[in-house]
Amino acid sequence: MWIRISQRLQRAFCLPGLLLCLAPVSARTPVQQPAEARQTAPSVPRKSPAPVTALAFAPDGKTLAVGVFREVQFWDTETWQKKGVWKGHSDAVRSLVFSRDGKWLAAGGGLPGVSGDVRLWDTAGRREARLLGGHTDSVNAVAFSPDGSMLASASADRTVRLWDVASGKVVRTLSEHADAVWGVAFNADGKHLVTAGADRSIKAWEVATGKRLYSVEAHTEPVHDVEFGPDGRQLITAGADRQAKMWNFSATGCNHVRTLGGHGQVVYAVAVSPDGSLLATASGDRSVRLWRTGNGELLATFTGARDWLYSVGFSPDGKQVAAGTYDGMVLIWSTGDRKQVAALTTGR
Amino acid sequence: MAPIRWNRITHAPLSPIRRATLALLCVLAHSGPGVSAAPPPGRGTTAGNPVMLPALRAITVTPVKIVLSGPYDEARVLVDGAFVDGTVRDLSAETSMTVADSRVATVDDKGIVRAKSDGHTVLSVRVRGRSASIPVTVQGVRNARPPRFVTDVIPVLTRAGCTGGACHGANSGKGGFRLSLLGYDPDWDYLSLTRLGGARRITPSAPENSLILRKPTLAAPHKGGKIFTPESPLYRILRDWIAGGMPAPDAREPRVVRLEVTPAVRTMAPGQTQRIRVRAHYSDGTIRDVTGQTLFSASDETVARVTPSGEARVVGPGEGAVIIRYQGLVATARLRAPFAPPKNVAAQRRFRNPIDLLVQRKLDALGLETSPRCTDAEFLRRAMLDITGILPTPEEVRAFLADKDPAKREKLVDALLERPEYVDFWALKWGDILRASRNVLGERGMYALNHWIRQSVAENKPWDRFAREILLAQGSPFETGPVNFYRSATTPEALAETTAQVFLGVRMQCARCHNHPFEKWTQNQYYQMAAFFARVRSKDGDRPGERTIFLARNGEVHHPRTGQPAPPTPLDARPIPADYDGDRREKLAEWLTSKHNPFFAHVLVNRVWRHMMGRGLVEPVDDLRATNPASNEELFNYLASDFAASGFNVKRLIRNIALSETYQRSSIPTPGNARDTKYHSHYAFKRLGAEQLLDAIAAATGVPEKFNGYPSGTRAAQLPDSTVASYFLDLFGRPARNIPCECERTDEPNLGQILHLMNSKGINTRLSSREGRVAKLIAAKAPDDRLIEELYLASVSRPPSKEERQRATKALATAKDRQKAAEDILWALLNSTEFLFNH
Repeated sequence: MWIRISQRLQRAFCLPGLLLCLAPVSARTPVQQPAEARQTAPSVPRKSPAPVTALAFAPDGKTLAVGVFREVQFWDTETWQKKGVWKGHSDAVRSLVFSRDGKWLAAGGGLPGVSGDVRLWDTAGRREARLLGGHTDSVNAVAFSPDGSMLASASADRTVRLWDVASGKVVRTLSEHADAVWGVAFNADGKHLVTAGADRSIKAWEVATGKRLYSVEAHTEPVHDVEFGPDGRQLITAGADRQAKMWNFSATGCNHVRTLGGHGQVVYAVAVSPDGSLLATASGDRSVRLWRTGNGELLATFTGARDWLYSVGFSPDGKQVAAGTYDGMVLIWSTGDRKQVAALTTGR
Repeated sequence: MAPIRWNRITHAPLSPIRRATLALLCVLAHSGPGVSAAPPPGRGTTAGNPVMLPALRAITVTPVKIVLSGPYDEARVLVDGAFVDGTVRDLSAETSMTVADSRVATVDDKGIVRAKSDGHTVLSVRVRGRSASIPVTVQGVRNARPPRFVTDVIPVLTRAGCTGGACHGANSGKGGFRLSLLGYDPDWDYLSLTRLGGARRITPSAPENSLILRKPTLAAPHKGGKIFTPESPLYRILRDWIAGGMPAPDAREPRVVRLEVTPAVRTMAPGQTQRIRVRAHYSDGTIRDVTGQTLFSASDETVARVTPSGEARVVGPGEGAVIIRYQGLVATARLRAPFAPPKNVAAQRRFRNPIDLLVQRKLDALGLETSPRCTDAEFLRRAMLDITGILPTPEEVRAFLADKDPAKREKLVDALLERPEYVDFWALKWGDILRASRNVLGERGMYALNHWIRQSVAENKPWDRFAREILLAQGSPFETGPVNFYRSATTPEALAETTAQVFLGVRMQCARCHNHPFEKWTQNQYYQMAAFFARVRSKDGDRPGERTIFLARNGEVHHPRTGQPAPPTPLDARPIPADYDGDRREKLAEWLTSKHNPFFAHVLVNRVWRHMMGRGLVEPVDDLRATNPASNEELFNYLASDFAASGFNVKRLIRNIALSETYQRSSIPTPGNARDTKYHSHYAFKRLGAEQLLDAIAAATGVPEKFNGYPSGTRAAQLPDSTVASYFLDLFGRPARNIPCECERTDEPNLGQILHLMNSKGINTRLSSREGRVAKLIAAKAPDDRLIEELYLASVSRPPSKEERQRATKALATAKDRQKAAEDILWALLNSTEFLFNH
């Protein structure tokens, strides 16, 4: 059985077409420990890589930020080499979002069950600029308002907090979800906010007042992600019921447009291409599906991941889709020829 | 009316048990493998002990040597003390245990030895001046593979309570985190732990950071509280599994095939404790001590209790089982605490009937004495009520008492089994379980079923044929009685449940949604049973309301979790051949009625035993499972195998029970058995059933009940179903026949019953009826003596005692109205415990 696993790992870490096999196979074999240490702490033959729980392309397209356990890695999108690391996160980085102007990178995370926080990275100064703390469970999703002045954090503590980016203060706390909140998105004009939660609902809010406009039972299982299209009307949700759904959003209600079915497991993440024409869904069935937004046509199914997928994002030019796996890989495909462009190994 | 107490049944006050001698006379019940340590010369009794005990002769350590393979292996060490009086008791709790080389292994205060590193050492035990040592070998710690999911991780989650029904094993989980109940679905549990819920429960790259380790140690808030510490073996297995790369469930992991419990049986005294050791035997031949991951519970907390770590304490006399559950398997340790010093009557006496021998053995082991034989009058009344459901007439009582034939009880039972009332009464019983009711079956269906049941009882149809005819029934429910079985349950699932409960005494309902929490039945087995009925269909017949049952050529039952068709498979048996295309029910019936079926004969025997004896060998009567042991397993097995060997002859079974000395014991307890409620040292009296009671009142007063739509003289036990209106029958617990369970008939007392018997039209008009017994006796100018005797014989089925006769005579003599006085006497008799109960 051991041999089988290590062969599988070799395959996993040296995929065909992979330019750089960052982790040598020898590093995956059981760690040799001095005899003394083995005796007292038996059976720690292998460390597993950390799941890639978040990723985001920088607006300039040159950097891919990847969130793993306790760190954010910066990868060069030309060479697909790791060019920097932002350390100091308390646990898994569960959400990464750049502000539209590229000035800030927000990372949501925290210690599950204990605390949740959002850290702001000053991209120009390459330093952590601010810590927005106070959630009592991990932050699962963050979103910048279109003008970049506000930030929303959705947490497993069942609340959503609205922050003033400049001051780092909490403007408002929205607390009507009955379970963990998994997704948050501003609409195009920044007046409305939609949140998605494990209580299976999506809820629409008025940003200025914090008033809840309505709540829709969107999926039959927890809703794991919600995103707006660039037109501010198109809304996409992803659920543990193995479906993604498209909605027509307005301040008065949300109409179900179509269901994007076919995934064989939980759909954890959705992304909309910057021009709004394409959709990508990432699932526990180890595939990313690419859809045409207009008619819901399935354009491609990207396979090649060896484990469940938890995050997905489009490059700013819409030509690439990146997705992060449970076994610590980031796979990048071209939306043009639909081929895999790169596979990054984030683990040690 | 003067309050007269006519109750004759009085119970002797509970005699204090001779506790002091009890401790001295516990018998040796277990002698397992072990090493004995001879007493050191010159050492005598253990003076200064908190409990005065006889001198310790030797100690025995189990196991004789310990070999631990791998870092998670454990072994519980038991130390038995053999005392000069012949008793053996567990001394583990007071034994000091030390491991010579603590780098190799450790031992904790529960007597569990755990591996630390490869090597050899010695475990020394010391108790009451005796000592012994056993070798300990630890191997396979170096280069150990990580814990496996099904073999190692699931037991941890179960033992820690995570997968319990009150926690994450609940159908909707807890706090968004759901595990399968007691780990029946490892694939789901693996995904739930690792991938689902946003993958936040486990941190693969930093195992100790995982929520599933921080929550139960309260490093993060946990509504379930603190479950274990980071030092506990449970924690270590979970952590190492994560650190080892979280191996997924693997079909090649060995399965547990058997549990071995030490001790399996032990005789103890109240206050004593006993540690229990559990070893699992795996399909690959390995054996592992799993005491530390086992769930322990007690079957009867009035006898014995058990701690989560497997330390049982006897709290009262009787026999209690410690139920041991590990990985879906169930085993028991039987702890016996005699009521008084054990006897050996069984060896000294000859028994006509094996029932009596087996009952006596149990009574001997528990130190219980038997009540004397009941009187002839008691036997006549008892046997008539149990076999035919009716009271003897005064003439029958007189004749039986006058009969000098020593075999008259045998003759009586034989005669009763041939009476038409036997058919009425037992058809009523089976009609309850088979739910003969026009509410569901319609009038014609109900009558067809009822007719078939009556005919079957009348011809003493062998029980296997009875079951076969039901299972294989098809056609019109109006023509063929047993077809109606397929009308009261209609889905494959309901049919499997009903079949299991009626003919196997197995309650499978829980397994519809998940593996049975108290039993070994899995969800797979549930749907595999249901698959036998997958092709049963119904269609409209020619007549209104007629639904004809037929077999379709195809049809499957799909397992809800996998979506796969379930292969028809009897419980704990091989699936039927895949290419079999006949009536699947044929194969089910074949297995069900086989002489080797472990349930079929047992449940019928248990039903009849309870009917006759007032208490099932297993209670509830149709809930046979390893976690619900019989009060006398040997007797239960004998009765079942004898019943099967007799060709499933129900009358013969009833006869054997009725003619046993056990059945013929007085219901009045003796000081030496007053506390016994389940071992049949005396007859367990029981309230008359609704129909029995109504028919008894009618017979005693001489005024039959009138049922709408039925000819006068129809007795309650002859009614075809329970839709026939009767306030009395409903008040006294007649079942509506909605469920296939004997429990639907209740003998729960309530205020309405008492008031009804004391003062209701039904009783009063009968007493004063001109057609009634009292009026007729008065009209015939019966002398006091004869009048009084007649009333006693007609109600409590015995002549009055001298004192009773005097009091009644006085009551008649002083009364202004002789008839009224006679009515009062009969009223008082009808309200006596002696009348209301079969004793």
